[in-house]
Amino acid sequence: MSVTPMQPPIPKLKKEAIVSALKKGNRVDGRSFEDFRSITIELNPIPKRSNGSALVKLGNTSVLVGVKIGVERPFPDRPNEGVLQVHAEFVPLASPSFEPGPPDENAVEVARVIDRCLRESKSIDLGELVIVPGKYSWSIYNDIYLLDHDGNVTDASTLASMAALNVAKLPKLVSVENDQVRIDYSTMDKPLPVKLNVVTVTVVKIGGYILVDPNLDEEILAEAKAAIGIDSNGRIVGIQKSGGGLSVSEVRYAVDIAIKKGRELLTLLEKTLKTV
Amino acid sequence: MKSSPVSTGDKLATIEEFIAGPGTYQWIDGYIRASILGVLQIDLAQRVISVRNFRSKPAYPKPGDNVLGVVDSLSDDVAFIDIFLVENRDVKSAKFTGVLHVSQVSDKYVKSLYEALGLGDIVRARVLSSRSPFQLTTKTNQYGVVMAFCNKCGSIMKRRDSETLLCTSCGSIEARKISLKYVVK
Amino acid sequence: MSSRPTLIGENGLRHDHRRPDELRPIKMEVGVLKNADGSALVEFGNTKVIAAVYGPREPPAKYMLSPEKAIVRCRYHMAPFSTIERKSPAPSRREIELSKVIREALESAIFTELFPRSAIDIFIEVLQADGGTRTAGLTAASLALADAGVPMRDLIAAVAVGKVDGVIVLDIDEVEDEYGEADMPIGIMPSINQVVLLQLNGVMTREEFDIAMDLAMKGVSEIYRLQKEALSKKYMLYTEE
Repeated sequence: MSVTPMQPPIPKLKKEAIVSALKKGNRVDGRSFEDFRSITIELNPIPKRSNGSALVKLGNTSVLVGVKIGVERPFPDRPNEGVLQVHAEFVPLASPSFEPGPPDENAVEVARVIDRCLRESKSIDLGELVIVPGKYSWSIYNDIYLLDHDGNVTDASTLASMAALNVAKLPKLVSVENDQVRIDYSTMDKPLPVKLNVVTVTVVKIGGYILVDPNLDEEILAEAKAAIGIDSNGRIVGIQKSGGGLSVSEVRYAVDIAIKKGRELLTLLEKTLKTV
Repeated sequence: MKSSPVSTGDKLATIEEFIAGPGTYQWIDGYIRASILGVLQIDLAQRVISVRNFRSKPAYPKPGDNVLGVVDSLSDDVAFIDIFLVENRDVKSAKFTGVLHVSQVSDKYVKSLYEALGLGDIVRARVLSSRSPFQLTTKTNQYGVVMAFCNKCGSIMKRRDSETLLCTSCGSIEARKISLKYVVK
Repeated sequence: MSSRPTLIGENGLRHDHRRPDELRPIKMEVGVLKNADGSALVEFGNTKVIAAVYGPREPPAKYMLSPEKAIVRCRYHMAPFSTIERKSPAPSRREIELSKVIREALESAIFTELFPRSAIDIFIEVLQADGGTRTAGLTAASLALADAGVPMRDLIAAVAVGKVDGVIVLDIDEVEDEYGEADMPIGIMPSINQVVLLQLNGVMTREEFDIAMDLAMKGVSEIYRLQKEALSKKYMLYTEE
């Protein structure tokens, strides 16, 4: 059952200041409405054990993604495809409001939104991940670990996932004999078949203004929020609106901003990936 | 007074024409709209437009409502009442917390609530406040205990006179603030 | 699973002979349950969803209540027999997510500030799933809230638009969801032009998104009309008194 969350009191006290700053055209942290916070992408911070990993810092929000690759039987209705799974853990060390336990609705939502954006855009060619059709295929587990929560976990997580998947390498396939597969997990071999990159751009509405990349206070105070997935062809590959209502024209405006800002994020991601 | 049925979201008037009363709200487009299904009521003298619900819903109590509740906890000066019924509502079950202060029990002076109530008694009361926990009063003879249980043996008690009850099984006599609607005469 | 069916025929009609901008047959009934404070049954073709509302009331666990407004608790749940293969009754990740987005959509309609320290409980059960269950569920929940007398800004009318074989279509069913390119559920408060639920699972260009939004608005206005009709069927009886 989904229950209205408790609102912490501090952002409520700040609302006045945040909205009056917006009326003057700026945000309390000095950004303009369409600015992201500073972004750093660290590639492969977990080099020994994960198949690929990335640490993204978006302002004070910090997300670590680790990719693990194994071999599994493909889903019966998809015998010619590999398996891709996205999971998110909002571990208690990331925020005073997180408790240990199974992923809550927010973690489930983030994971599912990113899962859909990757899947629907066919970002990873799952068809290339079959070893023996119907019997063996590569399984890609993309685990999102939120380390520090200062708002906009979705965008940081998508960026980190995309970076980690780009640097991830499949273990070495030693032999396929009589339907028996032997894998050398200690040797990294080929990269994943990443066909195109996907990012999400989150916008919020506060006091009637549409802002990009909300920090935690802005996110808590937001009247509405929408995460919009954009791929490297400039297409919309997913939308998840949450919170309250937006007018139709606000929705269209949000999509336009997302396409524009998405392009910038993709450029940054591709530039970082070239450094490898 | 003019009346016609309206539905949630319907445009009723502009904010320049009327004041938004119960069952309506002002939206940013400058209109007063209906927030419930009901009958439109226009008070031309006060310039208030409101919507009266077709049925008495929801059960959330309002000041002036009569409620029934069980005495859940008791001290000298305050009792907590579990409200389980709001009278004249088209809702079968209700569950709210009511608070009865010793000063609101009776028109006469009551020193301690133990002289007027017992744990587990069913009380009929009137609501004074508009938000939970609801302030209650049992002043006037319509209100007070409508069913009580003996403090000694737990059996149901019978009305003896306007201020005391008699236990039907052990014969014990106890004082209560008794409502005219007491069920066992 | 069998091979991909033809979703748009040569005559421009869909696999179930609907035009791209045509809704499935829709049925709505308000006040179908005796115990609930408000209830509604909604059918979009073979999709069949029931919703019930209890409250505003005080739940047993009062620690979660807010002193300034009612909290909203919402469960979207699929019956084990509602799907092709039996669905485990335990809440899936999908149901957890949909419960959240539906709650947030309903919460933006309800005047929660009128009922401090109480909870409004909304239970949505999918009885038969054939695509568009979350939008049918949201449509039903909004009717049930109106039936429970809960003050709202507007009714929420919801529908899923999609892209199948490159064509933007209205009210997609399970086959079109499974084999189509995109599924976009939308929930709108039509009188005050507020989009309260919007998801896109699939790929669209900016132009296709605009067409899909326009088509959704068209479908929603028809659903809104049917919602009002269902409510008046139950309530206009009372106006004669």
